[in-house]
Amino acid sequence: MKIAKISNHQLFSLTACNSIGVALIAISALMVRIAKQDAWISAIITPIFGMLVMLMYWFLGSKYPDETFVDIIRNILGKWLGLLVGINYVFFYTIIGCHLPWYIDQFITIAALPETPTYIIGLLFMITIVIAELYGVETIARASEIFIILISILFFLAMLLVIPNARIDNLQPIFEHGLTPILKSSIFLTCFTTCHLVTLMGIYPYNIADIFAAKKSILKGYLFGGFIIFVTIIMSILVLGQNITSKLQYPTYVLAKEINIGKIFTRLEFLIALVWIVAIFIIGILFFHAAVISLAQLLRLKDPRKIVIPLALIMLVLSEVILPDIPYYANWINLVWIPYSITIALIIPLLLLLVFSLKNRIFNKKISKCIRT
Amino acid sequence: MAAVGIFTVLVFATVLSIIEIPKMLQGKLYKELWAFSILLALGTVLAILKFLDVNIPNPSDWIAWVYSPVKDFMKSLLK
Repeated sequence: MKIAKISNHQLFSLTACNSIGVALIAISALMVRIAKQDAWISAIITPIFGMLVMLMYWFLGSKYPDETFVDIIRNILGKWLGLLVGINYVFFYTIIGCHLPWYIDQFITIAALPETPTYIIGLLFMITIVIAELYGVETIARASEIFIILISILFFLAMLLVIPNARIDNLQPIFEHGLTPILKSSIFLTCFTTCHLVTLMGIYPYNIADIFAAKKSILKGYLFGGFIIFVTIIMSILVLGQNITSKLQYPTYVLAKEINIGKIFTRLEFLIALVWIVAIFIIGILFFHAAVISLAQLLRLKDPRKIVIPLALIMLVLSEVILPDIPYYANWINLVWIPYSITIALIIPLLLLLVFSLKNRIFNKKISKCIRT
Repeated sequence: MAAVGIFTVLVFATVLSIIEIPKMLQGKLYKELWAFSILLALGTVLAILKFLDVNIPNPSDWIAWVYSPVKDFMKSLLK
């Protein structure tokens, strides 16, 4: 089978869509609850941590340019330990992938179609993802190139239109509670915008045409995503104020409801909803693709497309089970997702790098000893 | 409702097997055949259990159990 190769601009748009994603519509509530009106400062300092994580992924991939993530793990850790860690990753991709149909279900039933059963919306979402996955990586990457233009135009349009409602005194006083809440909330923001980018490892070293130019496009995509999140958070604080923002479930959506120019341009909130749904769609595809590819690599299948539809069926059923209700979700996402995502996206790749460099050092010493004697 | 759902899932699984399995047998992709059958069986069983309103064990609870030692620390972060 011919390996699909994607260009660097496509990698940029995939990374950007992926890091905007889940955080766009809901994160500012949590951020503002912790850091009050200073949340926008933590949105500035978060990309500094995130860039380090991105550099780590890039470095890991650049050492094995022609292999998939599971193969990299196997190469570094050996057969059995590699299998264990690989299963861990497949579990992560599948289980967290189930959250995305759930997000769409909840949002659509709350905001637009209150009487539609949730599983119908989830079914439609999963069908689209399956079709995208069957078409392959190149199609997904090209779609994301179109989506990033759509996302940027709609998002900045909505934010420009809401500017007349902004009040600068909502930001004051700056640094009211000191630096600690800002740092705390930036941990949360890192987990929501950076940690699920580990799904990029499903396509990253294996499907990239030019691995050394990829560094720049990953970082650029990540920074673009970070900038959009920064704009959402600062606009939520400016327009809604920290008190209201912290109590809403979908602050950015309510923010777009505030658009009111001459009583003609009103009810433009679905601009934001569209941006979010498109971004979630890209994340959903990337999670699903990573799950399929990792599972196929673990089982050493020749044709990963055979397991796409059965896996989608499992994920569709699990998406109804996995988060029973919104209080459960809020509890789970705050108390469990943060440590879980840090383990999967930060600690394990860091350990992989450590083992890799140790192995290299020991190996090189042996070679140099052989040469000396 | 439950009967219709179960029927739909069973029809879907049968049609999918009828389309896919001969292709895999022709291509001699036996590993794919195993993976396909196990995943499809799992999916079908899960869907039927869901339609019958049986409590399916929730994987989020397992993850929550693994990370229960750091729960208090996370709560202190949220304040």
